[in-house]
Amino acid sequence: MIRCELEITLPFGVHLEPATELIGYIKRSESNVSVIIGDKEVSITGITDVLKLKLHSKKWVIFKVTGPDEDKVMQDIKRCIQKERSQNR
Amino acid sequence: MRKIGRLYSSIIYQNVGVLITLGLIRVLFGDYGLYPNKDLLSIYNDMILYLVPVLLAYTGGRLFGNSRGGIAAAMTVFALALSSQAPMIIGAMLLGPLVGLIFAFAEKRLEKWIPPGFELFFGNLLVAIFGLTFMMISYKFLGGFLASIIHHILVIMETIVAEGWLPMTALIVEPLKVLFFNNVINHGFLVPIGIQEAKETGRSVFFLVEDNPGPGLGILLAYLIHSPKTMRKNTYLSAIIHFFGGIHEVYFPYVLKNPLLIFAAIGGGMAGNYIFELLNCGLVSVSSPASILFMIILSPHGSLLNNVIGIFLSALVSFLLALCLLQLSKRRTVHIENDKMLKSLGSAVPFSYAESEEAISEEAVPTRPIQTIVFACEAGMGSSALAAAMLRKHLKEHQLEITVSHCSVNAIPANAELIITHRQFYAMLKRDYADKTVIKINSFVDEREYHTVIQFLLDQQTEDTVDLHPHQVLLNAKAKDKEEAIRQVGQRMVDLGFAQSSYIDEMLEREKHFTTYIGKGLAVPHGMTESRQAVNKLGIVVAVFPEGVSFDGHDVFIAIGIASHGEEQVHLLSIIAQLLDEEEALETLKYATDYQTVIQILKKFGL
Repeated sequence: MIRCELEITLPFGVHLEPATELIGYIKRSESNVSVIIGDKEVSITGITDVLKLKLHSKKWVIFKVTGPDEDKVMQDIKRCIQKERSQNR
Repeated sequence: MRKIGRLYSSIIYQNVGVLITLGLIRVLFGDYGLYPNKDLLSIYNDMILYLVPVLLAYTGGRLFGNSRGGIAAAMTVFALALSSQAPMIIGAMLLGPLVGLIFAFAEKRLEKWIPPGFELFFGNLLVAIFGLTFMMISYKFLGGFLASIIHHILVIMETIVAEGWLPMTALIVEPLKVLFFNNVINHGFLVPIGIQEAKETGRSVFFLVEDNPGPGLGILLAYLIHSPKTMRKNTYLSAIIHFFGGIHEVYFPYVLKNPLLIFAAIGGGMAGNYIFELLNCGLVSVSSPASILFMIILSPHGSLLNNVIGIFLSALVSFLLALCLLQLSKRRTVHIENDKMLKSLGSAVPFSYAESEEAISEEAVPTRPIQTIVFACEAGMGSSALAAAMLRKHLKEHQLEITVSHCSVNAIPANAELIITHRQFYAMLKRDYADKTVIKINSFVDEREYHTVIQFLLDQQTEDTVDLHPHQVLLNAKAKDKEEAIRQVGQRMVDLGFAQSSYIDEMLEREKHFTTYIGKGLAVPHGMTESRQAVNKLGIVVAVFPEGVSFDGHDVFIAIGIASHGEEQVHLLSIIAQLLDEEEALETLKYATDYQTVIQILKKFGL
């Protein structure tokens, strides 16, 4: 299991496209992903789980990934929510 | 105890200007000043004997008994000052609030006996009677008594310095300081003694004991080296604000997060005090805020280098100790946490960010958009001023026009709608201002705290701005394909003034690249981020297609078109995502035949 506190650096937060992309990575992986905010831990399995988190730009959240490909998934998550988007749609 | 501390801080802070003037006169015209001048120096003597005690008394009296209580207190302490040749700083600090308190009590008791229309007359008469009575008591009895007490305190303090016990004071001062008793110790005790001593000797080392920025700087520099890159910006900012801005509160959370570091603070404090004692250091007046720049200005002629050496060495000792302690605590963390990523963050996270978010979600219940924010700290001049400035910067970046001010926790203005304070005052303010929204933050310099506040404000503004009217709902809509459906939704947005006509093409363009279908028969058509210039204002249009429209093979029954400038979209999408979890509401929406049903359901979810 790995945990990582990450800052959302996408200029307009995790809106529909990055959220879909994020879910794409998670669904293709063999790991379980959850997000910890305060006392609550939310398991991420579908797009609505991501959207409900209201991941605004510059928000910090803790991602927890458990599974055989956890390192790769964490890297994908980082890339997804932190990459600079020249084509931010 | 803390209340008394806050009271004294408030009195001193409001008069810092005059205390700094005293210091400057000493630096310029004192016996060892840059331009010694006995004539001009006599202003100093009269100020410290009469003006300063009277001003302190007035401020203290006014805090309890308003301006009339302040005047009664000022008269009392003026008589006290005339009765003795010792500066009555401590007397003013004791008597000022006390007279104000007694005056307020008497005024309240007599209120009901005053005939209507005679309030001003009796009010002023009461001031005169009170003033005269307390003046007589002070002049005849209290003056001599207090002078003798002050003399004894000074003798004790001189003994502490002469016997070499000054370094030991760090054992008490440093732990109390990081527990946010800094103003209590300094303004309640050390500063009055210091002013008294400075009158006699031209300087006082007691102005340096608590105000020495060395120990805090050492700790922050050690953190700077120890922190992962992501945390360095905050630590760097804290160090600058602490050392040059003189707001020491910024380093307290770092020590509280890792209590072992208190030994670094004590070590640094002891080293500093030892040097101060050895080299006969001191300042001519209180340095407030306790910035190195003020300390340089208020160093007596010939002592500047000694003061700087003392501060530098205390920073060095504190830095080295903090480095060792951080290394030690990091090792312990590695053993305890079987967690790869958090290991790398280690002890460098000065607080739990999640806590501040909880505070907002629990407490925020404003009924309309917030227009006035107040940052409150103990004295209302240091950390709250800094925090207000930082928040203003963030508000500007997000184009939020909200007034931000700062004040003491004892003087929250009536028009404040949102109060933001340090967690130590949170419970008190939450209790005293139950009708206002109170948010606690853990560190005034952590950027993340401000992002949380901004997000809360953005959500709140969004909630208010999106207001659903029947003309935003397209009932019983029909479209042969998704392009036609999007054009219908887009056209309504244009008609309602939410966006310009080019936005429709942008919506279609997005759909080509990426479907906006999000599941369960619902799509959220919207433009590309680059097209936000085509958006006039935030708005949504809801179209119900009872027969369904195909969005890339998925049947869409509800299309919620969004016109937004960017960040609000995340908030709207979160609401729509909640709607998706409610099968029953979705079914009702799909077959809705009246506007009211649609609006009711969407409003229930916060749209």
